[in-house]
Amino acid sequence: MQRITSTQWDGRKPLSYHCMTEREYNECVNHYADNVYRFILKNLRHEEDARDVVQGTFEKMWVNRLQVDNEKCKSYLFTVAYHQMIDHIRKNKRMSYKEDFNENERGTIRQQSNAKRILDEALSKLNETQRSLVMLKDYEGYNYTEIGQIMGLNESQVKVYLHRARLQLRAYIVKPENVI
Amino acid sequence: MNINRHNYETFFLLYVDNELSAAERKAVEEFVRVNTDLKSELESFLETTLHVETVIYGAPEGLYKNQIDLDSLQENLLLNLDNELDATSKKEIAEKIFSDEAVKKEWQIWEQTKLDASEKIIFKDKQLLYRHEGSRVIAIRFWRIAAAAILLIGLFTGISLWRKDKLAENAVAVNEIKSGDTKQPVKNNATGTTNITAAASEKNATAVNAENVASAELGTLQQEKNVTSTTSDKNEKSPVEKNNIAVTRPEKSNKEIVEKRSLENINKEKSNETIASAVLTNRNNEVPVQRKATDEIAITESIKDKISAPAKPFIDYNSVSAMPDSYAKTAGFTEGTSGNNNKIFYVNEETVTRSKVGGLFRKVKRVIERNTNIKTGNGVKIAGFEIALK
Repeated sequence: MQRITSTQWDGRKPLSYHCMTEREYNECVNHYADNVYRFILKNLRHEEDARDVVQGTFEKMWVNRLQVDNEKCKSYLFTVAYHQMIDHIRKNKRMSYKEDFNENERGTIRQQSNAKRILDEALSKLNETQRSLVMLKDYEGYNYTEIGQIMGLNESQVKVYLHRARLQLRAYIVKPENVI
Repeated sequence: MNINRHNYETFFLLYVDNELSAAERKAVEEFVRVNTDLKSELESFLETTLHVETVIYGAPEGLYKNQIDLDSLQENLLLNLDNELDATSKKEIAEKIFSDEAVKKEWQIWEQTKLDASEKIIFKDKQLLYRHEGSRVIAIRFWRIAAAAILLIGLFTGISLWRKDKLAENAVAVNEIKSGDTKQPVKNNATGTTNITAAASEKNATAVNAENVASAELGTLQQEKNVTSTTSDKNEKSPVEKNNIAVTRPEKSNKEIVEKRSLENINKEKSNETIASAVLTNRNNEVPVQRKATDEIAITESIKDKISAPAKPFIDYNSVSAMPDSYAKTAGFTEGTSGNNNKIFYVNEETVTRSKVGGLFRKVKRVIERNTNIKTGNGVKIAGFEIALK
């Protein structure tokens, strides 16, 4: 299939990229819909809201497909998804999952002392920025620079915030009650 | 500046705001002491000032920031966990983990903070995310093309059916004439021109009849030759007049109308058929044929009489004016029915079959003629072009 080439001028040098075609868009859906959904669902902990955000993300990519470089469609998706998620959180104030987590903590969580469960609990204690940082790093394998581009942070901020998040996770994991 | 009862308020306000010098403050106090009635006013100004309150922020520790104080080992372990170390540093830390048991333990703890990338959460409704561009537009184009094709096919089919009907009509007429049908108003001529006469009389094209009859009567004129005959002017008189071929046109004004017809390429029967069909097309709305007893004609007799007549036959249009009004009249021929006047004679009625398509086209033609003010009748119309004969 012939690919359309678009040229942008960023003030210093022309940037040429291949616009996304319909087929490439649908391939992008196949490849990354699950990843985006996991990223959003783990943050929001609400399936319907996560689905709404994912659909909104892909809809935005479809509308702007002529401005999206197909090579960077994944980064574009996560960038849009992250910002839509933040907007969603601010609008709906749907932050009750921490309270839900506390309720669970009192109940069955201690008995299910497996590493994954504890890590999920620890992850849910982080704020959305820290949680997003950890997930973009561990799930998607982005480096600090790419994470910074997605989340609108510089590389140093990413590094500091991510290490701080790791320390919190570690602090939770090494608690005596959570030691496997 | 002296303080008096007119400007004391300004001094009082400055006194309260502690904006006066020591001498001025003393002057104000002296003024109040002398004017005791204003002392209460100065006190009221002094009461508007706020007193200093001590407010203690109860939990300042919440604002403290903990500086991340990682030693180089921990930082390297974290960077290694994030896969952000270069190859050399990676190799060094790997060796350290392998050699040092404490570092190994520390590394294992850090590893536990790493999420499992193999964890899958499936987004089930991917169909909602798929998009397709242009498919609907293609469908619309296809339907447009299909509609246009259907329209064209229908148009061509209608035209071809209509033409086929007309051709069959003419063929039937010619065949019947050839078979010597006794109902035909004109008897067969030895020169074989009766088919022209029959066809012409069928469609009230008397002028053509006369021409063809006349040309046929010449006898010596060969059918192979192209004969171009014209009708005479309406005032012209000729031996043909005696035949009293009366021609009227269905016009309300009932005026005498002169029709001129130029016929080309009258050769054989085929060409005659063509002309007849042309006449049929132009005159097919003038079917009823009346004949008057007084105008009865025996063309076969007249042919004999007119063998010596000029090549160009003439029609007596003066006799038309003597005829009563009739909506559609044309030449008629008698066969021993002299007693009947105004008898309606439907020429070749059984062969005249009107198709619906033909009627539709005639209506369309009439509408176009009315709307465009195209007047027809005084010329020969061939394929939309009208040739004036005058």
